[in-house]
Amino acid sequence: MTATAVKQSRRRGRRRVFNTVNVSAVAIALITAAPIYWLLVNSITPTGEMGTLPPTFWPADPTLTHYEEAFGQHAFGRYLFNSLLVACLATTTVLGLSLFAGYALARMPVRGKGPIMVFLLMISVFPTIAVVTPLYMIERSLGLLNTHIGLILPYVAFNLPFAVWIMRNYLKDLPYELEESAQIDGASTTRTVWSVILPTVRPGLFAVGVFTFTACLTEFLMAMTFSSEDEMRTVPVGIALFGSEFEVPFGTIFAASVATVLPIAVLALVFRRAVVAGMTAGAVKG
Amino acid sequence: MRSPSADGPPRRGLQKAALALAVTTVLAGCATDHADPVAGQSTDVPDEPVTITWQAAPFGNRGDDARVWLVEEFERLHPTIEVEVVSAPTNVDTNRAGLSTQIMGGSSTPDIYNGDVAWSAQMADAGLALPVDEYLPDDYFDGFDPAVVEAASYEGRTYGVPLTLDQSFLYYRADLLEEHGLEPPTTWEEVAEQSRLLIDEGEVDHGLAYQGAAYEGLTAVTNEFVSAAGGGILDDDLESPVIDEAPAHEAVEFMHGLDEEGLTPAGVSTFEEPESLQSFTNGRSAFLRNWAYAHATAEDPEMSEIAGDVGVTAMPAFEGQDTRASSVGGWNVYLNPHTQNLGASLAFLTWITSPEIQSETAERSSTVPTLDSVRESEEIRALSPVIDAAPDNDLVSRPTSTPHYTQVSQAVFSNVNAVLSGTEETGDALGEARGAVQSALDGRSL
Amino acid sequence: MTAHTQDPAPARATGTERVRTARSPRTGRAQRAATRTAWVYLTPTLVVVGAVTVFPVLFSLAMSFSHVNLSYSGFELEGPTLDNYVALFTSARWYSALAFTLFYTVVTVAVELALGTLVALVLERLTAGRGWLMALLLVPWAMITVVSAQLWAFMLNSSYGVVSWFFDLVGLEVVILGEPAPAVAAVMIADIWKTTPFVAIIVLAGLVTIPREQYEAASIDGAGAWHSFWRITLPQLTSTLAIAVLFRTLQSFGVFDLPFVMTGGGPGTATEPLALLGWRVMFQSLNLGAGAAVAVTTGGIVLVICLLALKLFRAQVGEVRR
Repeated sequence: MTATAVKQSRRRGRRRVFNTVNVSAVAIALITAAPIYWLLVNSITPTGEMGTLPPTFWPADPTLTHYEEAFGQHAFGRYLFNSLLVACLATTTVLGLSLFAGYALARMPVRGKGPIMVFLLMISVFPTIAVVTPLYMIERSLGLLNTHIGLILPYVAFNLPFAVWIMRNYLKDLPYELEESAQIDGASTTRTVWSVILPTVRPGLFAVGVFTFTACLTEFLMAMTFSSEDEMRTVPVGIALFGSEFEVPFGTIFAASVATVLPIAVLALVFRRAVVAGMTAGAVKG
Repeated sequence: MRSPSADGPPRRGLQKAALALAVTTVLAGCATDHADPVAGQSTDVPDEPVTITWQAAPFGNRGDDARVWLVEEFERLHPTIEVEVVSAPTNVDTNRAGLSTQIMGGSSTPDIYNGDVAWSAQMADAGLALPVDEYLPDDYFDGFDPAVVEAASYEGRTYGVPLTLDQSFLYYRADLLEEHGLEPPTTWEEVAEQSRLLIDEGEVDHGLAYQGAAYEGLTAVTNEFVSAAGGGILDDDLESPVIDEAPAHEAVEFMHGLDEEGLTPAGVSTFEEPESLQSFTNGRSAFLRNWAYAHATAEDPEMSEIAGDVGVTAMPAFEGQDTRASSVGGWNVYLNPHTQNLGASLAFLTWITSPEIQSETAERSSTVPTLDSVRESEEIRALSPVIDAAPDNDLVSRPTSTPHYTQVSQAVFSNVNAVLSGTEETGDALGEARGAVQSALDGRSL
Repeated sequence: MTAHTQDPAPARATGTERVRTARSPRTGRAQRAATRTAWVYLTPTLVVVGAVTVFPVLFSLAMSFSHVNLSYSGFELEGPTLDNYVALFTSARWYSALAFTLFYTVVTVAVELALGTLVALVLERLTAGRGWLMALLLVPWAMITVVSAQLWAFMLNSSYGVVSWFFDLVGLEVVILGEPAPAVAAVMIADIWKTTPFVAIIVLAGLVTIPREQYEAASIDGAGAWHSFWRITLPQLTSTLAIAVLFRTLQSFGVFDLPFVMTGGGPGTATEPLALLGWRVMFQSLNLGAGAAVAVTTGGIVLVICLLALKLFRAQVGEVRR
């Protein structure tokens, strides 16, 4: 190999690494990661070292006391369990119901689609603040307060409209040949939806799932109002109980937050191939 | 699964059912008359075992939750009563939102709850608290500070039993004052003077840290400054606003002047209690206006860089005036009107506010007792410099006896905050505040 | 698949589908059976949504038109009256909240849409580390809003925040959360940081369905990257973007916890959105009627905006198609 050839290939190699896409990806990663880094660092910084100037970019004496406080002094493990349980069940229900409802609205002969879609939209636009009080009275009379189902039900109801809208949008774009060939094979509609349609709308389901899951995980107002018993509380409400009237224990809050987000991030990392595949594999090319 | 009927989707039937169910619930609520909601319940301690719930945010010293040991001690003395503690959100407004939804919705839990002293009139007016004086001996409230009982009352009835008597103090750097031969200031002018000197000497970056953010705390602060200047938010009959009159104008101008001159931290208009305390404990500010709790934190070497150098004194007056105005804060214990455990609840709340327990709480949890006899006793005063400084404070109440106090306060703090953040002139802002307070009092504001 | 993109309008879609279903040789009975199955699919959704939401929504509608008296025995609604709405429309605070909410919605939705599309394009083309980047992007979105608000408040704090410290270092003297314009900007940046990843994921899901052949054909014709983005990518993304806009608008309009924790609505009322105002009127002032009126008007405004946005997108799609 001559010297010029080496230089050229090196330049090409450099161009392969430093192209617009890669540079942008690094920029995106840095901007996203910077606040997260600050969250992580301050969750292991002793209280006395937090908020000193100049800022501590890495604690001289990393500590796990904030985590001990979150899990020891507060029943944070229990809150996390409640949150995950409620979010998982609500998300599964929303996914199942929205797939079929979206399919009916997108591709089946139903009268009154317009009014149904607008009805769903109207539910979505109504601010939760106003429905909490009447919902509380209903749940109280049905004995649903301080139960998981008492949270799952409203979460499903308030997230379904969005899910149906988004699923309908994905479903109506599919080619009709899909069902036609299935029908020729004699499959029932439900079977067609399940085994032919479902795999092709995975990106849509993924988006709906992520949306619903995080919405349930972060919801505060209903969780606080409907679950007043300590063992039924969810993470956002639990965090609101940290500290005391005049004290915001940032370290403990950040530790609790890391403990909540970490499982999600790790899962996404472990299944990153599946995540990417889920996003892309459903696509019907051409 | 139901098949769709010709007359439309089956959901309609279910909606109707849900609606009917819910409407019945509401109407059932409305049907009962307005008389005493706990009529017929005994006020005695029941013989058979009962469980009562007490909703309270954590209080007491760090790492020693007062709720826990109080309940333990009470249960030991009253074996038939079990007290279940429900943690309240630490944010006062979030706490009230949760409580009011539950009690409006007819919930019988919590039986008793800790609530801010500023809530009494509002809770009473909305039927969210029981007039507790009805079930207590006539002389029960005689031992409490009259200003505190007044603040817990509405239209002649008393709704809250005062649990802690919070008030503000002026904290200072004892080491710096001594080094420069200064006496703890007794007037705001001296605070400004000493701040200038300490900043010039390079000892600190700022003079006074206080709570200037747009929230309830700023109304308490404004109330102090304005009262010290001889004015008030409302007139003495609590019927019309005087927030734009000369004393109030001088007071707010003084606050603004501190800011302009750089004697307060630049971000004071965003400070709530934690930020102001931090500015003091990290050694950047020489003075701090804060509640009683701040002393323990500022003297804790784990939390503070100036532990051991903290002095505390009563709030300053203005020169030529003698009111060392300090806003009343703290917590009352309220009774849920829907409680099914009146006797046991009364037993708990009278026990927790009794002289012995108040002494114990003062000792173990650094709270300021609400009973005069306890607060002013030598042993209790010797416990902490904060309680010792308390008698020099002239307690001033915020105008909390109107059920529209929240809106009055909003009118005050948002306009004063606009002055502090430099977006409005004092005169204009206070003029607007006056109008907003008036419409709040008339029940016309949001 | 997107070659078949139809307009997102529900009303018109009905007609199209009838044509569609007619293509398969169906008898009247088969058609009826299909309708029956469709209702079986729809019913659970409508029952759950209806049972949980219809009464509360109607109840707050009723409250907004009544004097709500609270007493030991619960609610008493006296009405009908327009007083709550009069109180609203004569309150400077409501107009200020409305203005902030509208501005906030327009800016955050526009910026998140642009940035989200950009991030999605990068994600689509990225060859190495795509899974890692996606996992990272999920973190802000999965973070509890109250906590991310605390985090930003902590970083922007004027006395110990790392951002303020940096500003100080470069000689910028500004109390970020203490002055109206920077405070508004700060709340919006926190929202953009948190929500752009979500928009990116939605857009990516639409992006990967665009047939590769179309790009290939375009590149044979000598079209540049910019050209093919405008001519191929964007038109095919329209219905995905419509959904993203719709629901981001909805969420932005209901923004509550972010300013509640970061600024408390301050300085003054510069960052107080409608939802926070409504919550305060309801649960701080215990003025239930007026609070419900805030909620109802907010809902009404969002509904109008959403329907307008849909109409706009529909027109856009039609134009492109032709």
